[in-house]
Parts: sequence; structure tokens; C-alpha cells
Amino acid sequence: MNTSALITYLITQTIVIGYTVYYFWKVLKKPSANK
Amino acid sequence: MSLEKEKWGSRLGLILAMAGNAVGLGNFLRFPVQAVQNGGGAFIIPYLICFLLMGIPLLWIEWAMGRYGGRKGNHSTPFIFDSMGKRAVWKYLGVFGIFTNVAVACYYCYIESWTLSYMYHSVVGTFADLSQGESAYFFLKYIDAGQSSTGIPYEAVVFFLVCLGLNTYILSTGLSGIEKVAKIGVPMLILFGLILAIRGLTLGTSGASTAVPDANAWDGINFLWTPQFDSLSNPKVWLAAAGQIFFTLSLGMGTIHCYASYVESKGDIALNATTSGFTNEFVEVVLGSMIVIPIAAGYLGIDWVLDNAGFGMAFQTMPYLFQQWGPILAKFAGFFWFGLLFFAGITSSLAMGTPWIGFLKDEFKVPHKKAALSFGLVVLMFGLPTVLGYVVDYDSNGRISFLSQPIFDEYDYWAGTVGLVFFALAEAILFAWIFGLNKGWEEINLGSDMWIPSVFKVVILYVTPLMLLAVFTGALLTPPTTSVLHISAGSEQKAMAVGSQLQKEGFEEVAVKGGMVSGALPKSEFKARFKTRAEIKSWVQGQIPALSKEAYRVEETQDWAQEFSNLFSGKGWNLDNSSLIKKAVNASENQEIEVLEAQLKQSEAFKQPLESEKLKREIALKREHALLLNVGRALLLILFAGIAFLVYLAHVKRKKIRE
Repeated sequence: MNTSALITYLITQTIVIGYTVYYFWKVLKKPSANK
Repeated sequence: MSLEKEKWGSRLGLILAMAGNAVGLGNFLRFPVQAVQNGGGAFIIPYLICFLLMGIPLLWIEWAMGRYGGRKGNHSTPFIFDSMGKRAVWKYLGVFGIFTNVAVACYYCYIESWTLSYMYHSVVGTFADLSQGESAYFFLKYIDAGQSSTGIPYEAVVFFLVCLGLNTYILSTGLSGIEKVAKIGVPMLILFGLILAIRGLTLGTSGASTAVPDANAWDGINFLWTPQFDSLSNPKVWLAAAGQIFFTLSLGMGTIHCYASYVESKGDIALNATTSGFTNEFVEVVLGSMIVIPIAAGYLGIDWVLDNAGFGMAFQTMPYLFQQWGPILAKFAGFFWFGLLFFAGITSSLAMGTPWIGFLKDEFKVPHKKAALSFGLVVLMFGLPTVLGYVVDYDSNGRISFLSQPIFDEYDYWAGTVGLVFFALAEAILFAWIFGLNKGWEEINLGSDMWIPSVFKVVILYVTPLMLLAVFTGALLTPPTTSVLHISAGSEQKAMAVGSQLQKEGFEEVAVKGGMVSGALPKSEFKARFKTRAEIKSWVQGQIPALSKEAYRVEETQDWAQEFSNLFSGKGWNLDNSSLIKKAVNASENQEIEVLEAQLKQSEAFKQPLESEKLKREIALKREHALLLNVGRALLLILFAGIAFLVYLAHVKRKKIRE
């Protein structure tokens, strides 16, 4: 992979994976909020 | 109003059902193709900005509208809208929130049935020993429903019926059934996607063959992720990015409203909506980008991918590529790939059934199972024409030489594209400007488990509706598309020489800047001049022999500024054949028929009976295609009018009860 592609790839993946994990973690802290 | 207080079983189930609704075939097929067609790495920046400014706010809006409606006993958009805006028009705009789902389900269940059938064919080894051409041809034979590869007559229809039956059965089990499918389907598709994405990431140059010696999966990955910052000023890229965000999140359909209407009246929606949105992005950006493009580039080369990127790759190309992994792995890979598409599909099509069921239960007290069955029957009635409404022709060897699916395409365009954007624009205006931003903001934050920055008030009030208006206008008034060839010539002197050659060959707007040179042609002329990337490459190499792989690229643009300037100077507005207005009058098809008729006249004048016969046949096929386009449109109108009539009856019924 070329350098600029690698940088774009890593930044994008970090943002998307990071936020997905973060929000899921917040949800799982209160798993029964809609029960 | 509904007497049953149906609710989601768990928060995780709700989020997975919502994520399953959003994650569809488009995550794996539409996203990478859009990225490839819009500058690769350049696409991702507008895409993420549109996700933040349009996707997330619209998710909050739809969840908030749904929960608000559910609190008042409304589980479909006609009466959710009615409770938020006092004028009758909102109720009828809300019809789109049922109509779109039924219309999309009609062809979506058909696509889903392809995945089911291809899972079967992958496992039994149908694709083993098929060449690339034969694999692609298998798909055409499948669509030609009269043919059969399993011995089952009308195989495509049978798989469609099985798929629709499965959807109807699961829908009849209520929210708990949908939740169960989401809890199994979403993790499974992520698992299957991860396995294939790892393969895409690790394929490298191992797929190169004597036929395609420079095939390299990294070329595909590099193309997707290398940023082209100059493309950021291209409105076409932004419109494509906004469109992708819109479709990938299943916005503007009415399904999110319906699912959210079963959330507890003070249960969180802000965090749930954001989490389901990011889950969809994970599947799309992390997994969707790493399967089709890298694997295809790894075996067939990046030029082939750029020439052929499209929906058909999933069914026409992937089965052949999997065969390169050996007979056993090919079966697994085919099962994983079509399995993940099946799970992505069914979790979305189930969502499409719920607004119809919710509406019948709320307004006419139809029992749940009967409401689910009626959905299946309506989809069967309006869906069969998408399966059987195709145009086919065969050559002298009995092989398919022409195949089109006009009714399928019409449903996809008018219901699955235009209808969604129009509906979302209406709901964004209703929520922020009619219901009122302050009330709306309160609704979003009620019971919220996350803090939402107040800058999103401005976004919801102005930015989101304006972005939707831009997407809608972009589709309505699309200007003609121009293909721009950018060449990195190395030095200014070489660039000047290439520039003068471009000018000689009729290219317009030839510009030289440093060692870069560019020239533009209308897209149709460019396509006629260069049929494949190999032809472009050989032309450029003819000018600059020592050319590196990245030394040229093709960008597609639409000159909005020029059209505005034309408009204000009284020269009118030029439209692309893909614009909504031209589509509405079948401009492209009519032009094709006119050209063929002119050729026929000439051929008859020169007394060429064989050529005339061929042209007559082509004209007949195009006419049949155009006729079926109109049939598709008529069916959609009947469906819309029927649902609007039911809404009217429900309104009369409610009025009587109130009196």
C-alpha cells in the first residue's frame, strides 16, 4: 500500500472502529434501557 | 390505534435490528463501486462529512419521530406525520413511508432470492470449472426465468417464492422473530465479512496469472484509499457521497420510524441511533471496502475493475474468483459471500414489512398474522412483474444476446431512489420547521444516554435539509456528465506536447499546469473514443512511452456553474439523460430508438436486407423495454394510490370515532 493510502486507510478505520466500539461500550453499560 | 403494546425484547436486539435494517447489499456492492467511480480515496472525506452532517442527524430525526408516534399509538408514517403537522398533506406525504417499503421489497426479495440460490449453487459446486465468461453467463440464464440450471422449472420464481415465504413467516412471528433473526444475522454477516476481508487484505500479487500478470490486490486497495484532494471541489463526488450515506443508512424509508415506534416512551434514542449508524459504517467502510474490489483486482487487475465495477460483479464475477482458491475453499467462500449478502438482505427486507403491518394493525385492527400474510401477498402481486418482466433476445446459437429488467429498474429508480430522497426532505422540513426545532430537540434528548452538542440544532435546522435539497436537485437537474482525462506527463514541455495532441483529437478545455495536462470530452463521446482502460492506457503510452501506473486518471464532472450561467443568460439548462426529468420521459430509450430507426431507413435505402432485419429486431426489443418501463411506472402508481386510499379510509374511520 502506498503511504498516502495507508494514512487515509488507518485514519478512517480508526475513526469508524473507534466510535463503533465506544458507542457499543456505552450501550452495553446499560443493556436494559429499553426493556 | 393498536391495542397490543408490542415492545423490543432487549436494547441490543433493537440496535442489531436497526443495524440489520441499515446494513444491506449496498454496503458490500454499492459503496465500493461508488468509491471507485468517484475518485477512490477522494470519496471517503465527503462521505464521512455527509455521515456527520446528514446521516446522524437524520437518524436522530427518524428515531425521534418514530418514538413520538409510538407514544400516541401510531406505528407507520402517515399518522406519525399527521400527529406532528396539522395539515392533511403530511398524512399523505407519510404514504411514502409505507409505499416505498412495499415497492422496494418487491425487487429486494428477488435480489435476496438470488443470494439464496447462489448459496445453494456454491455448495453443490455449480461454478466449478466454469470460465469467467461462463460464470457471468450463468447469471443471465438465471434471470431468464424460463431457463433452469437445477431442473426445477422457473427456478428464479421458485427461489423468489421461497424467499418471500420466509420473510412473511418471520414477520408473522412479530418483533421477537425479527429480533432473533437480527441477533443471528448481523453477527454472522460480520463474521463472514471478516473472513473474506482478511482474504482481500492478504491476497497481494498471489492471484496474478499468465493471462493477467500484473493483477495485484494492493492496486485495488490503493485506488480506494489514495486521496485525490482535487476531486473535493467536484460537486458530483459530494452528491454521490451524500447519496451513498443516505441509502446505506436506510433513511427516508419509514422503517426506522416504525422500529423506533416500539421503543419505550422515555427510552434512549440518541445513543441507540448513533450506535446502529456506526455499526452500519463499520460493516461498510471496514468490511465492504475490503472484499469485492481487492479480490477482483487481485485476479483480474485494477483496469478490469475500473471498467467493470458494478452490481453485477457480486453474482457474475465473484463465483469465478472463488474457484481460484481450490474446490473446497471455493464452496466455503461462495457460502460465506452469498450467506453474508443473504443475511444483509433479509434483515433489511424484514424491516420493510413492518410499516405495512403496523398500519393495518393500528388502523383496521387486522390481527398480526393476517397483516403479515397480506404483506406477503401484496409483495407477491407487485413483485412477480419484477421477476417475469424482463426482455430477452438470443443469437443464432441460442445464447442470450440481450437482457434487460425494465420493471425491476423502474421500481429501483422511482421507489428505491427518488421516493426516499423526496420523503426524507419532507420529514426533515416537518421535524425542524413545522413540528418545531425546540420540541424536536427535546424529543431527541428525552431519556438520552449521550450528550449531543447543541451545534446539531443548527445542523438539523439548516444543514441537513439543505443537503437533502442538494441531493434531490442533483437528481432532478443533473447536468451532462463530462469525462476529464488527467495525465502526469513529467515535464511542462511533455505536458504541452500531449496537450496539443489532445486538442487535435477534439478534447475540450485542455489545460496544462506544470507537468500535468488535462482534457475533457462529453462522457458518451469519451466512452465511444476509449471503450476500455486498456485503450486509454495505450493512447497515453503512445504519447509518453515511459509511463508509470499512476500517471493518468479519469474524472467525471458535471458543470453546475456553467448551467447556472446558461440559465441566467437565457440559454436554458442542459440535462443529462440520467436526470430525473429525462428519465421521466424515457429520453435515453427514445434517443436509442430514433438512432436505430435512422439507421434502418439508411439500410433500407441501400437495400441491405440482413442489416435491416437485425435493426428491426433491435428496435422491437427497445420498444418492448420502453413499454415495460411504463408498465413498471403504472404498477407503482397503482400501489401508491391504493395505499393512499387506505390512509384516507383510516382518516375517515378516525374522524367518525372522534365524533
